[in-house]
Amino acid sequence: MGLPGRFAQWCSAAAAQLAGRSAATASLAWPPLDAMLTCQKLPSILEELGACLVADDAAHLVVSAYQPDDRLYELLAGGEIPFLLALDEPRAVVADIAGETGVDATQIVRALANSYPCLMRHDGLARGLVLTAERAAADPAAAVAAIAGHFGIAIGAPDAMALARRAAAPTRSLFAAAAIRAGDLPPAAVRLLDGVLSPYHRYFLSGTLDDIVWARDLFLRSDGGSTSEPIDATGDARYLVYGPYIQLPPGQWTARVVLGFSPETVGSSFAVDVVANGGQIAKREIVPERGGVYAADMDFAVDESGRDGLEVRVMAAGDEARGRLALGHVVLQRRSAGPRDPIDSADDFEAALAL
Amino acid sequence: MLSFVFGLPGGFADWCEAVTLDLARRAVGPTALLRADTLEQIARHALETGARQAVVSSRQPGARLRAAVAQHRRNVIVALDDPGPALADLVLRDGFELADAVQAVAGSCAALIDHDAMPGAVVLHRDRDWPWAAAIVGTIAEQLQIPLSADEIGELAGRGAPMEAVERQAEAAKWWNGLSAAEQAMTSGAVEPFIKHRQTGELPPITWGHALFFHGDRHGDPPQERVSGPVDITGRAHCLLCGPDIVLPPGWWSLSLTVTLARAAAEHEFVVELVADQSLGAGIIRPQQQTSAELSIVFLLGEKTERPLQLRISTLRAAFDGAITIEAVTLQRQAPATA
Repeated sequence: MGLPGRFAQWCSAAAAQLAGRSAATASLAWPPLDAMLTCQKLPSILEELGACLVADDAAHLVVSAYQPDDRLYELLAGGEIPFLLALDEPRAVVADIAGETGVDATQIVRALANSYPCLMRHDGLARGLVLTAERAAADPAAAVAAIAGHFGIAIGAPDAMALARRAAAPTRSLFAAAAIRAGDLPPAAVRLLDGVLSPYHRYFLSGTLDDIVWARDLFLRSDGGSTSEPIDATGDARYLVYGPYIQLPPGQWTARVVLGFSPETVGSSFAVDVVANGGQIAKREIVPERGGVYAADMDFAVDESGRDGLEVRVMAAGDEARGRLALGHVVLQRRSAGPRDPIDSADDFEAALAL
Repeated sequence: MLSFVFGLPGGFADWCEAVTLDLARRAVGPTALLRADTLEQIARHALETGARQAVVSSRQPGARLRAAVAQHRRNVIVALDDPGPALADLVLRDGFELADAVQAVAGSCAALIDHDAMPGAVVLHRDRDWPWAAAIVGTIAEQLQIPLSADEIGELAGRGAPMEAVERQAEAAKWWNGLSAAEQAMTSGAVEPFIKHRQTGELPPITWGHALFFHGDRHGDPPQERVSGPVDITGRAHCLLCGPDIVLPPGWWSLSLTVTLARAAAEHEFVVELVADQSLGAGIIRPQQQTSAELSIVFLLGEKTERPLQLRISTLRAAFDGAITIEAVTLQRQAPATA
């Protein structure tokens, strides 16, 4: 499993070559890239795997999971089934996909952002092998040998070298090419993906999840305009901005929504909320006292079942709102990886009750 | 390699499955028997065991499994039986409770109602074909492309010889006559429409009785405890009844629910929900102090619906007294609705 870029494809090709040495091998990549980019709701990967097994009598099947779901996780968490976690630098992956599809970087970043929480869950599982593109590029034959060993396939060094070449190994020059291609990305796209995706990549290397930044480009305006432009808030209560429908890993989170308000908004009521699985999970109200930049902090929890993307909404809360506002960005900080411990709030109660 | 055996629960499907398994092992070596109704179950087995050789045996093959088998023209053995004696077999031979047997046979009948639409299917009927067991063995061997000698065919055919049809019918009739009127009504309502469908091609209304349903507030998926008698509604707002978790053929359906209410239950309102893969419809029962109430819901079961139909009845507010009984749930398949 991994992001749908050239390195994950190389790993899948290597695995298929290894398996194919003994018997016919079929491949499944799920979900398809076009479905990821358009946020389509698709059957589960297990169902699609079952369909492949019905369709093809091949002795081996290589499954590339780009958004491994809960059902697959339950199976892998059992510790009996080996799998490979292929990690590549997100700039290279975005460049790969942009070059292959011509799709706007914002759309690609949104799709990959929905992959990372799924991949994070599998880090640390007993039968997982984490392989980075950097390591594979430094020694492709060793990478092939590691994959073979992990899946219990015997292979000698010469065969591993030959297979690495046949799988179009990510040699140092190719790796450099990926970095060069990433350098062709527009600066705005690089800033966007650095805020959304790079924290996840660093997590796999360091074990710590840095703040995630959702730039305004990821959001939508109710009036169809660009979120890079100020929004006329004049009028009745209504939603002004919403999005980005990106999943977060489970845990306790704080979202800081940064907004700018013109002086005309003074006295008008606005609200910001967070919605998950169709229900509001956090809300803050803002009544500007003067024009300027405001930050609304909201605490909320994301649980294991929260597989739908999160929605952050900005609304004119009262009738007869006035003035203009602009969305800056949303900063997400994970305070803890686990569910909220009810005992955590004991201090608050004790203080309030003077116990 | 996967081979497929679909069939009604009972000895005939079990025998076909055993023959297919034996033949597959002769052809390709170690082969697992996988009981699976869905594509996901097939995938789980493959991941957990690493095995690629299996006979997939299904008594209620899901819509997507059936579609995949049909799309890829996979060979499949469809082992059909008379639902009446099949029910008797489950109760007398396998120790099923009557309601569980009705649920299994009715669901299987519904899942296999369109077996003719599977292009690679070899359809076998117990009473017609099992007396000629050697021919069945030869047919399955031909489908799996396994050459067999006459002795091998004879050996396989001789295993698990069936009860004579006349004797089996007599046993089933004796069992049937021993059921109470309520048990016969419950069984007939759920299963007989499928018998009529095999005879005429038309599916009469299906009726589900109270005893097929489960207590709604007893935890478990699927629910575990069937109701017995009126269901007490006392307590906070909660699910009182759910079930019967029986597969229906796809299409437009109308559902008519009739309930009787005892004591203070007549003062309450009840929300009724229909669920399969997703919510299909809902309504509110408003008895308005009457001891009987009805509700109708029209719904569409899509071609790819996997999960059985579940009806849920819940209170909307806390209750201190009262009981509810399902008189009948009647389902009639409709012509496609027009806009």
